[in-house]
Amino acid sequence: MSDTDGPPLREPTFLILTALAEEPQHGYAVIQEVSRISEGRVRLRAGTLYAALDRLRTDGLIAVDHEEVVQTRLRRYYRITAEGAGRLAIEVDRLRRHAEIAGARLTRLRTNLSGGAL
Amino acid sequence: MTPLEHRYRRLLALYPRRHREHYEDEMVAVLLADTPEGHSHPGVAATADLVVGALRLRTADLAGYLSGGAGRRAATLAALVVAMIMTVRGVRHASSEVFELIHVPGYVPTWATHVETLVNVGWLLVLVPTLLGWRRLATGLAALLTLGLAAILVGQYVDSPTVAAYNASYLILGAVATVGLATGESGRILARRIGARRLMAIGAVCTPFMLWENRNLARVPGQFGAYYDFVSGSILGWSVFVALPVVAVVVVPAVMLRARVGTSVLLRSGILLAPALAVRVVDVTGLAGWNEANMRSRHDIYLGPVQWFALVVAPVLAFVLCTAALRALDRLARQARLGRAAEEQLRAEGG
Repeated sequence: MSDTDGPPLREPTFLILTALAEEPQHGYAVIQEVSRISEGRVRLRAGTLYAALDRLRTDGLIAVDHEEVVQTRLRRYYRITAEGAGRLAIEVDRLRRHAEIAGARLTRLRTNLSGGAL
Repeated sequence: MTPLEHRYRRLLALYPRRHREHYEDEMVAVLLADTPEGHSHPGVAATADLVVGALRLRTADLAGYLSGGAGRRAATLAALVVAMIMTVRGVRHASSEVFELIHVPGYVPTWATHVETLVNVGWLLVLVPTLLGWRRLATGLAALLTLGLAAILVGQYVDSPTVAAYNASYLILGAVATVGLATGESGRILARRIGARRLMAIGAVCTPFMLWENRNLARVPGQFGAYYDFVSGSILGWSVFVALPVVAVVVVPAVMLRARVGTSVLLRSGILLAPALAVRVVDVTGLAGWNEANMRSRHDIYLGPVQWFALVVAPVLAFVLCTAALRALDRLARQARLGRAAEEQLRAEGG
């Protein structure tokens, strides 16, 4: 990781950016999408979600795409910015590199273990 | 508005205003959509999430408010004031020890007394590196002395709970100085910026404090009558014990170079010192009866849960209320500035 990459993204942040990488979404849709991507493991709640959205907006990683009113309720759609996409790409690259190293070591370990077993 | 929505909005009232203005309606919509059908109360998990989220945002807001340029300078100023107060206290403590050694027959200080004297006088060693800008050394020493004071207070509480409670505010001051030195700007830069008026203001903070300390000592008749007679009964006594802190308060800031510290910095440093003041207020008001009872009782009476609660809550409350007041003041000042700018613009356009 270079100095300009910044610290690793926390999992909820990573998943929110991943959800928005598909298309602009409103808050509740982000919650559902994050749950779907994480196969139900990560269940965001409103407090956590909006703290993260606020931080991501302040950092310029996401922006408001448009607003609409549905059944008298405000619905605000968020989209990922170019900067956000860049940050997500860096994180994906980092995770991939780590996963590749972990995968290679695991393969060697399994080989050793099966050799030892023989 | 349904009862459920009303309950959610009550929880959202915990959030900072800025956050509510941006997100409240949106969050309510998400919360309502996320609540299972038929439920009329927010669930435990959702409530906990909202409360924790609000606390996090408020803490971050506060940290941001106090960690800006003015906040960092205020932290150093508070640390400097504390170092001066503690130095003054240390000098007083050491001088009284010396006086007792000379004038009280058979007085042999224990090792604990020596440690206490060392911990008190040690603040002079914090003051010097602070003014020279050696922040790490000053922070390390301040942390060490604060921990030392904490250990002394624990020991004191067992033997003499009123003395420990009386000294609790110094523990908070020590912690404030440590955090202020660790997070603030260089003391040397601050020393360059402080002007004569501000030095007088700092002196004005420290001197009454010392007068208070001396008055209490002078008033209490105790084992070492000669000492108290000396302090309270002679001009020389008062001169020595008042001159020492005054010299410390005046001479130390006098080495600082001419410059200016903004009002916002002074007010922010006041916020940082408010918790210690609050504990002292609790001690002299809320715990006055307990102090009196301890003096009259043959056995030590220890603090009860309500008294502990007051000692813990008072500094936190003082900090929160002072911060809220200052932020409201800042908002008012900003609005006034905007109003004046708009008026001037209108006048210029009219002219």
